[in-house]
Order: sequence, then structure tokens, then C-alpha cells
Amino acid sequence: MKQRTNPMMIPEFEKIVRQVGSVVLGKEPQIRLALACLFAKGHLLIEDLPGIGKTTLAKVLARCMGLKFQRMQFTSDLLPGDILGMSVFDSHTATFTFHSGPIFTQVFLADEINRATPKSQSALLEAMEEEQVTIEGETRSLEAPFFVIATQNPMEQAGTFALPESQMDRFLMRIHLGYPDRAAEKQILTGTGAEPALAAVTPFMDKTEVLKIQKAVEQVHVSDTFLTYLQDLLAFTRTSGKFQVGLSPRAGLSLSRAARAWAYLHGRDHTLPEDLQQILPWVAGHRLRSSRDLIEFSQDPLMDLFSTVPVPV
Amino acid sequence: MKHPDGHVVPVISALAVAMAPHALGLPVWIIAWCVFMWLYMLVQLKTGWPVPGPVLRHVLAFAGIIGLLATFRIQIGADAFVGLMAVMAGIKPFEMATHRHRMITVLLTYFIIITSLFRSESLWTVLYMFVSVFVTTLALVRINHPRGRFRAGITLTARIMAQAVPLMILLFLLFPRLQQGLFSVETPGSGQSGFAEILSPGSISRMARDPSVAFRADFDGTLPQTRGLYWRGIVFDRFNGVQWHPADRPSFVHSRQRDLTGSVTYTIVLEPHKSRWLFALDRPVAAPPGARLTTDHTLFAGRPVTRRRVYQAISMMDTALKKKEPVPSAVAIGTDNNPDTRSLARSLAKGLSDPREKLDRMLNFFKENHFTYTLTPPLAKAHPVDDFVLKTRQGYCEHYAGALAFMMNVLNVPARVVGGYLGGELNPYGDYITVRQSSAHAWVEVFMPDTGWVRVDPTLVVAPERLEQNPDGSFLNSSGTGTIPVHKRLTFMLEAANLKWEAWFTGYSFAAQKELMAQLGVDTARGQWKTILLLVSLTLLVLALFLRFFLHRLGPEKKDPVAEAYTLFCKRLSRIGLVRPPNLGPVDFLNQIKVLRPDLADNARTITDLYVQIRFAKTHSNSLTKQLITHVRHFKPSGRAKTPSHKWNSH
Repeated sequence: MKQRTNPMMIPEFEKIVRQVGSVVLGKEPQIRLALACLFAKGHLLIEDLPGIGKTTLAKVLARCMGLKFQRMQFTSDLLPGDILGMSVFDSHTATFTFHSGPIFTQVFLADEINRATPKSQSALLEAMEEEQVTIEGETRSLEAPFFVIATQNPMEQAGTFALPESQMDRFLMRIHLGYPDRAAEKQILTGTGAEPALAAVTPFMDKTEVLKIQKAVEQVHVSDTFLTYLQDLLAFTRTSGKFQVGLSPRAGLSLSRAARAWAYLHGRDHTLPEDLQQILPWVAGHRLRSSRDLIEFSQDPLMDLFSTVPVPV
Repeated sequence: MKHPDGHVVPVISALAVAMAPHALGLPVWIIAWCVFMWLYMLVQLKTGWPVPGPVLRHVLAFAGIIGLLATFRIQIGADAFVGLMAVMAGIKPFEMATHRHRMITVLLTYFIIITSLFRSESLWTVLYMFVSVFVTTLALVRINHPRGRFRAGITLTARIMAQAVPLMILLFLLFPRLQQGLFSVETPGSGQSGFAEILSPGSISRMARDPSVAFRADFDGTLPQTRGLYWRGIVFDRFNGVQWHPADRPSFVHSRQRDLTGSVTYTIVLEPHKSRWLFALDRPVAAPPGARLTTDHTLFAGRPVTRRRVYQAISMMDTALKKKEPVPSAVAIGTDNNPDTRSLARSLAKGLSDPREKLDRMLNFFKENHFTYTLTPPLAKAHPVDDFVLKTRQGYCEHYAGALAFMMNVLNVPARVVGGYLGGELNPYGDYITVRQSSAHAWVEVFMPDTGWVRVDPTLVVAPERLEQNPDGSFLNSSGTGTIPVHKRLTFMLEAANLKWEAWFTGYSFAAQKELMAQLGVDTARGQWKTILLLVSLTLLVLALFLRFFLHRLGPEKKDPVAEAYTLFCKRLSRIGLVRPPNLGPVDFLNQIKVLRPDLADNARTITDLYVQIRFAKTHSNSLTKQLITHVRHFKPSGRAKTPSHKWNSH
């Protein structure tokens, strides 16, 4: 799709973008979106081919934020207990002791999420939505901030379980990384690999600061005019006939949250129609299906969305 | 695109109801055309047959217009106009895929409803138009709320119409009446059987079976007498051997008759007959407005009667004139026609010198020679009077009148034929008389030196019953209502109601309107055009007030000064080529301006910042709005300064 030019963020966030960009080369727009997603308390779905840098992006983001990081490779024999943890009988104390799973972290990378069975996928679901997990009847809350980055490979179909719409909806954004451009790729080829660069990354903030920013994002003002525009856009997806199903109120809420995070990252305490236009393709893209063809998503109707719905004056 | 099936039935129903009054008046093919197209459209709802596409629709429209041209040629009258509407209404339902087309169709339907007035202005037509408007408005409601309940649609329609009633009455009373009607078109089908301007054998008997109404006379309770009501129309005083003609150029009475004692005043509602003659009881003594009295006692209108005309007539029933009339010049009857009748008349009147004796002799001739009165006289030959008097001896009133007048003139007694109507039908509920075309009649006036023109009706010599009875057998009833059969009584009642309505509805003329204005205290004695202007402005004022108070709620509640200011800002930029696409946010637009017109960047930034602050920020004050308005007002970009001027920057 036509990439809209991303305006610069305020310097402190621009620094993070540059830092992450030094490891994941040539992907600044995606890094900005990923940051906005994190600060909007959303989860991120990265969809692309293997070897593009999905995992590296997740790792470096976690490190920059000073957050705990866990990565898990999803496979078809993965069980919910493998993600969440389980109680194991301790013969010394003659009691069951809970051994927490990899989900008890702050940045959780679910690699190739569509390889796991729906049962395991749905175990992740509760964690994502409610920031808590229920194991053996006991609810344990996860440490905030909690941020799930899932990756999936859209090309492989055999032995995969496509994420159902309900689960797609839990991801605030879905982004594509795409191949690096020629210059970035040359840099990758001449370099020594991502690991040393990753090791060199120093954290910019810690979890309290992340929480503070997330709180501040919620304070970003949403004006009536902005809401009018948002509602016009939602109404268009529902009534234009170009989409199979229109956007849900939850999708509307997600758009508003992402736009607020975007506004915050650009140093504003209020949202603009432009914020919505910047984030909309990534927030709405995986929730809409074109009514014309059965392929999951085509960009053209989304473009109609922008060209048809006027910005209220 | 899903076809809007739900809209077809309401729209076609509205069209059919609106077209129904024209069903009898239009050419059969147009009616068949409409019925076929509408039925096809309704049937395809069930069967899913294809709806004609744009190409076929154009072909159909073209074919329809060709058909209209073939039917009406170049007569652009009301009939052609209605025909065009009907042809378009027939194919319009094929073109209802979009809301816009459906709305157009409904508006077309309203126009078709108005055209019903071309055909008739009767009470029934107007009542039917209300029904029609109701159905069409219901269709309008349905196409806008296709899923609404039917009941709710009816309620809404009734409410809309009820709200329109005050406006309707105001517009009817205040909107200037034009003397010819707003749409100055001839009433379709009018004048098919009006009174002939040329009297020849057969020209009146042709009308003897025509039951259509010629005119109605309302006596307002003072019916003078019910026997022998002669309605005077045209005087024929020129004979060319076959036909009687009226004077080429009527001469008019200039002085008004002052003494009207013994006269009777009544109102006549005359159906259009395309001629300029007005009918009145023999003899009219004063002319209504817009008409003049001729020297031979007929009423001559200023323009042909192409629409129903209501006028007041004053007549003197006593035909003996109080004023002495000048001796007329001899009536022209030619010299070489009908020689046998000439010699017959001369031989009959041999030795007589008194005109009255001559007249009696002639009438006796008709009485004693087995003349018969018939509605179907034999066809006329080259010398029609000879033929009738000496051979066939069967004739209708025009034969008798023509023959008698001819014979009297042969004997040098001036005599002329008068055309009009005899009799009529009294409606006891309305105190008015309906005169039908079948009552058309012709009689003779003979000039007597002492009393002037005297009415003589030779028809009564052979058919005395004609005085009591119309040729179609109906009686001029003067007895009470008791003897009238029930169905006849009902007809009389409905007819009386209709006449009262028409007298009021058609009679509400410009003059009546002026009178109303005068009663309201509005001075209208300043000339017609000033009055029209006054009425138009008054109407517009009322309309504006109506819109202001009744429709105001529908519009946007309040003007938004911020939106106005920003829109003005964008408008001024668009004049110099910087158009903001509607989907471009204010900040993106500012960035565009910065790139394309750096010289405007500062002012544009100020305005955009203010606008964004007001529209999107958490808090703002009213002073910002004022600042925005001020800045926008002073922001006047011009297309000349392409590059930033250094002179300005150096200051």
C-alpha cells in the first residue's frame, strides 16, 4: 500500500526508533507503529515471511523498554500448560508447587502463533485480554506492562490453524515488515548479524516509565470533531457495502486508543484526524474483509475509506 | 447492486392513481403503453425478468416521442403535454435503481396530478386529486422509509398533508390569479361540439344527441318562468343559398341601458366552446365584464372561451322592446338560389302587404303541408331550402328557421335566424338550469315596423311539444321534488354541490382576489401590475414565514462560526489553486501549503493552529474563535506572488 510519510516523533521517542532501527534495519515506520501499539496497551501481530526480522524486532523492543522478555516457539503439540505453567508435586514438601510458564513475563513473543492448536491459542487469549491467567482454577495476574508480540507466516498453510476473527480482534495492530530496501540489506549482509547489535542496546526506560506513558496516553484528549470523523469512518465500513462485516465498537475503541498513542508519541495532548489516518490501515486491516473477494484483506477498500469519508470541518 | 424491489409497488401505484383521470382523454396507445410497462415491472418482481437497461430505455423513450409526434403533430396543447408526461411515466419505473431516480419519479407524479385540472375543475376532480396526492406522498414516505410500518407511513402522510393545508389555502387566496390561468392552456377536448358559427342544414341536428353540458344558469331562487327559455347566442343574417352566416364584424352597443326594471339577473357557467359567443336569456341587455353587447342583442366575448367561464348576465324577458329600433337594411339572401321556394313564397303571399299577414301565411304553409320534425333529416342538396320546402318536408329546427327566414326575406320582410338553446333541465336543489348541447335550437326574428324584431319559432308550428320538452326527451321540470325518481334526485343533488363548488373555485378570479384584499384593508386600486406585485411579495412573505417557523427545526440547529471560518479559509486557498481534498486533515493541509506556497505558510500556520486548538484540543476559549475569524478575514492570498518576497522579509 502507499506508505504515508511518517512525521517525526518527539526527540526522546525518536531516539528509541533510531536505536531499534540500528538493529532492525530500514524498518522505522514499523518500529514507530510497534511503539504506539505498546504504549496504547495493545498487542502486536507481525505477519511476514521467516527471516525478515520479526523476532529481532520483538527482542530489541523489549530490551529498549527495559522489560522482561520471553520467547516461545508455537508448535502443533504445544499445550496450554506449556504456555501458562503448571503445578508439579514436590516430593520433599509433599505439596504441589506452581511452576510458572513463559507467559509470566512482560514482553511475550509468540513465534508462529498459527502453528499451535486452537486450544493453546485460546490460552493466550485470556492472558492478552485480561492480563491474567487462570490455571487449575486459580487466577494469577500478570505483571504490567504486558505486551504480546505474535508472529505468523502467511504463506505456509499446511499444518497451521488460522487465527479466528475473535482472536485477530485481540491484536491492536497487525503490521507487515517486508523485505529491507537495498541499502539496508547491504548493511545486513556486510554486518556481523543482529546478536552483537542487540547486545549493544541499552535500555531507555524501565517498566514504571512505560506504565506512566501508558497512563499518559489514556489522558490524550479526544474531541467531538475527532469522534465525528471516527464514527463516519466506522459507519462507512458498515454501510458502504465494500466490506463483508463492518468494524465493531471494539475496533472503534482500538482506533481511538491507537490514535491517542500516536498523538502522544508526536508530542500532542490531543488527537487529530491525521493520527487516525496514520494508524488506521494497521488497526483496521486485519478486522475487515473486502466484500468483493474472499481473500482476507485487500487494501483497495481501505483506500476508499480515506478518499470517500471527508474530514469534518 | 440489490434491486430496490420494495419501491416498485408504491411508485407504480402512485403513478397509476395520478394518471387515472386522464385514462379516457388520452389516445388509447398511451394508456396501453403505461399499463403494459407498469404490468411488466410488477410481473418481473415475481418472475425476475430482466429490467430494460439504459440502451433499451432510451430506445423506448425515443419510440414514445415518435408516437407522440405522430399523434399530436405540432399541436403543443394540454393534450400533448399530458401525453408526454404519460409516456415518460410509463417507462420511468424501469429507472428506479437509485434513490435519486425514485425521487424524480415521485415529483413527476405530483406534476401529473396537477394536470388533472386541465381536464376538469369539478369538485370530484379536486377531491380525487387529494386522494392522489395522499397516495403519492405515501409513496414518497415509503421510498424514504422502506422498512417503516405501513400504518406509521399513513400517519406521517396524513400529518404532512394536514400541515400543508394552511399553506395551500393561503397560496390559493393570495397567489395572484392570472386572467387566463397560470398555465394558459386550452382545456383538452373542449369545443368539440360547441355551437356552430355557420348555420347549415344539419349543423344543429348533429348536436341533438350530445348530452354534454353547454352551460348552467343559476337564478339564485328567482326563476322567471319555466316555459320557453330561449338562450340567445348568435344572430345569422346572411344567407348564401346553402348556409347562414353571422355578420363578419359585430357592431356594438355603446350606450348602456339605464332602465333595468323587469330584468332578471343570473349567473352562467359556460363550458369552453372555443368561440367568442356568450349565451344569455333572450334578450340580454347588459354585458358582463370582458364582453360586449352587440346591436343585434348578443353577447360577444373579448377572447374565445377556451376555459370554463363564469359570468353574470342581465336579460329582459319581455321581448317587446321599449326603445324604437332603426329599420334594418335588407338581409342578404342572394338572388339566384333556391328559385322554387322564392316563387312559392311570392305566390303564397300574393296580394298581402302587411308583414304580419305574410308571416301568418308562411307559418300556415308549414302547418298544413305535413311537415315533420325529425332528429335525422335527409341530407341537403344544392338548393337545400327548395329541397326541404318542396320535396322532403322533414327537418330539424334549423331547417324550419332557415326556410322561414329565407321566405320572409323573399317577401321583403327583414328576417334573421338566431342560434342558441331552447329549454334546459331545472335542478330543484340548486335553483339552476342545466342546458345541454342537445337543447341547441334555432329560431327566427322578423322585423315588424311597429315593434321591431319579433321572435317567431317555426319549429313549434310542427312540433309544439318542443316548448316543454328537450329533444332528448327530458323535461324542463318545474314541479316539486316529489315526482322525481330517487336516482335522478341524487344526480341533481351531486350536480348542485359540484356547481356551487365550481362557481366558487373557477369564479375566484383576479377581481375576486382584489376584492378580498380590499376587505383585508389592502389598497389595490393602483393598477393591476402593482396589485400582482403586491400579491406576489405578500405570498413570498407568507411562504418565508412558514419556512422559518415550520421547517426551521429540520435544518441545522445553529451555524458554526469555526466551521464557517475554516471553510472560508479553504475556499480562499482553493481560488489560488490550493484545493483541500475533503479527506485531508488540517495539519496535512498546512504541510502541503508550506511546500507549495511557502509565502503563505506563516498565516496559514496561525490559522491552522487556532483551528486545531479550537477543534481538537482539550480546552479553548471563545477568544480563540474570534481570533480565528479575524485571521481568516484578513487572510487574502493572491495568485500573483509565486515566490516569497524578500522585501517583506527584510523588514
